[in-house]
Amino acid sequence: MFPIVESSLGRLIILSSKKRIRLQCYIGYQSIRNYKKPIWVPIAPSKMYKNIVETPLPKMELQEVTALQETYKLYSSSLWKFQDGISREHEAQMQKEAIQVSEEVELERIFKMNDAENEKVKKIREESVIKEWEEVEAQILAMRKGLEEEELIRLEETEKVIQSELKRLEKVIKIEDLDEVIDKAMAAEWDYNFAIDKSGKIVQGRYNNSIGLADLSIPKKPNITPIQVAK
Amino acid sequence: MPLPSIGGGTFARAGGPCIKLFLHGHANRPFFHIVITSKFAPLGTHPVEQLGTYDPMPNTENQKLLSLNIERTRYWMGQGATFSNTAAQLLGKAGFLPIHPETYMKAWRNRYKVADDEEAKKAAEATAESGPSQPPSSSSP
Repeated sequence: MFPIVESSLGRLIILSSKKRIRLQCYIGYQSIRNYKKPIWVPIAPSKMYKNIVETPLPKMELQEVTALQETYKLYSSSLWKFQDGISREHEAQMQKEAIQVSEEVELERIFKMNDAENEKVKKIREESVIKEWEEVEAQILAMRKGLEEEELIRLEETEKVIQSELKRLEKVIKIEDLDEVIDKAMAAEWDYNFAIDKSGKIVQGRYNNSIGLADLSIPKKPNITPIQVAK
Repeated sequence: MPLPSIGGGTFARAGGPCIKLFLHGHANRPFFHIVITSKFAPLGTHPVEQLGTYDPMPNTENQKLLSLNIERTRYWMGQGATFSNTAAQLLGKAGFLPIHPETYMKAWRNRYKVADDEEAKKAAEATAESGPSQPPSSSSP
């Protein structure tokens, strides 16, 4: 009769009435229940023939629990009766005192009680605050020690790096020695007027006797093995 | 004018006065007021009087703090107020009331559970040490 639309919110039953000329539509809403359903709503088919088996308590536990419950009831009822008596006496006393004691005296008494309580709490709080600060102090000292140790390690590592760099830079040309090195380089003559034979002989230049002017010392006999000419 | 949290409500429902835990707080941060209301009052009803507080989240020293106006609680007990199950268990553990039977029950069930878990663990370890059993050898004629 009425179209039913299923959505994530629930089932939407679209009802319409044509009483007036214009179509009036409104939606009947069945929400997803998060509570026990009312007694007049029928049982769902999935739950109709469900066999609910209740696991009974073990015998020992049941005996123990019943014994405990009985003693608890006894204690509770005796407490209530005792308290009932005390509260009646207290009420009677309060009524008596209310007549006798004036407001100012009562206030003074209350203030004294409050001050005493405040003193007690203050003492406890001061002790706990001191303890907390001591812990904080110890933490800070430990942190500082850690930082100092890290700093030492870092310094050692930087020292190593510096030393390795200095070693590397020992062979580098320094500004003070620059002139000397330039003069030496200019003075060094390289003799390019030489030739190498197919057999491997070095034929020296015409006007120079030796080529050993630079630091490199060229051997008189070549280290190269003579090339064997194919027969 | 809204009523203060210390009280001001009335015993409008049937059931007599009852001391319960009233949940306040926020998401993931529960906090309870120990209040006195009617026994069958709905959950959001304003209490007649607040008797104390209970914080279920442990503090930095692993303590769950409970405060209680003992004088007023005893007065209401004298007037015939009952305790809800949870309130009775809590105050039993705190020492104001005798220990509730459910506390003992939870304790021995926990002990049984721990013992069972340990046995299962030992059995699992024993089977792991012995190793998998060899498959039966098939001997076909």
